[in-house]
Amino acid sequence: MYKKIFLTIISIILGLIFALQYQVVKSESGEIITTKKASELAYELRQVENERENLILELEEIEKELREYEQSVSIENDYIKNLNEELNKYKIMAGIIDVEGEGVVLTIDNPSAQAQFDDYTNNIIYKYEYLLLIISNLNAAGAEAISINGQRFTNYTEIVPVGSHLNINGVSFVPPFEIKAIGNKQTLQSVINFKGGVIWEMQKLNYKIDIELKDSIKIERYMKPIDFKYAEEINEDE
Amino acid sequence: MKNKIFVFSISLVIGLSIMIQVNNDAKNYTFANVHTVSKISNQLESYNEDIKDLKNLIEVKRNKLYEYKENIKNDKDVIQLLKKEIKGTRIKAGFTDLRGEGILIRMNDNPTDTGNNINFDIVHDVDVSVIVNDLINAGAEGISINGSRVISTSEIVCVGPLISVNGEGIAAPFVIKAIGNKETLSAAINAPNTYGYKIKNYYGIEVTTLESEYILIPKYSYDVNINTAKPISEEGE
Repeated sequence: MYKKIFLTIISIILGLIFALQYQVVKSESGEIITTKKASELAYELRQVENERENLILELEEIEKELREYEQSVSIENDYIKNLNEELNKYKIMAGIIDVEGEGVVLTIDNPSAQAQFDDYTNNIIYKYEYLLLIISNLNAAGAEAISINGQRFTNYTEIVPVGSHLNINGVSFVPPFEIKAIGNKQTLQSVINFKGGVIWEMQKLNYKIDIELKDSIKIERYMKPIDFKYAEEINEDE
Repeated sequence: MKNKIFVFSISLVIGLSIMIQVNNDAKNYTFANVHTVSKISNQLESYNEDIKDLKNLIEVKRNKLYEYKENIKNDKDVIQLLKKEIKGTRIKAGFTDLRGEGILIRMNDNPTDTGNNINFDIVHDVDVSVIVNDLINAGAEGISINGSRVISTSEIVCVGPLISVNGEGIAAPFVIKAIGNKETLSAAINAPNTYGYKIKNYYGIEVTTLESEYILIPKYSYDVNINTAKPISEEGE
């Protein structure tokens, strides 16, 4: 008699535990999303992508008109042409203009899930200084423009870990990270493949690194406004 | 016998109800790769940011176009206008001296003999890079290291006992200057859990900071070599 009661109670408890666990897993699982949400997300992405494309086209139209004024043809042609070239040079240095040229594209991803499980520091988010070192090395090799996951690297670009993401130019990203650099592709490549360098070290730690040399890379401009709130330029006496 | 049938039927019922429950839920869910979902979300965030910035840029440029239309009557005007544009862009690119409130940071190797691996006691290129990065994150509008202006194309790499910045080797102690909100900049280096705090307190690297109302940062004065990158501005390119 007691045996039956005992068995019943155990079964009820087990059942309750099971039901509870099921509910907890269901609510915490970030890996299962509703079919509706998945297609909604994809749809939203397409919409936003279109809007962005249209705005870029609109911006390019206006800039074309602006250039027509800046490049007006006349007897002073050469001087104006030189001034325009100088302006473009500084725009490239400031990062506020789209550029194109040969260079390299690096794709960096975390080591396998097992490696991360063994040591949580095996994560590019945790070891974000690797990205800073890579950029520094690319600069040493003469990189003229650099972008990370589409974000132009400028004098005002930060790379900071926020939770399980990296924030670059205020936008959050997860691995993999795609670093594009425009410059002499041979020189860039030699510096990257330098034995004992950052990439070599990362590969030893099993980070997945892909290096591609390309004849044409496009890097977009930095789009945020650059306004100084504390710094004042000291005028040069020309 | 009766007992066995009883237990069997109960188990059957329980099994069936579990199956029905899971099945019901499974209909509404789809397995999406965690990676894909976060990639799409991040892409969305990135694009939405861009849209905001683009709208801002469009407005700024529209105003400029209006200004051009009103003011440009001849070449002299164009030249004057281009010169003004160049001046503004040079400031953004780091080609002018700057002054303003900010911070002075002095970093040096650990002076004591710790007996540890010497690599833990000295200032590396990584340390300087991360500090510079933290300053930028804290809103630094201009940064220099031992008098050399740091811009996006500046390298900070160890070359033996020196660190190369803008093609010149510099040695410890490293004096980093930054212009921005002095309290915010100071917190970025001194607050607990910052990189500056860690290397100072766990590795004994000398890190001293000084807030100032008047910091002077020199312009980037090295050669500009843009040989490969071409602006995408003309149609057809």
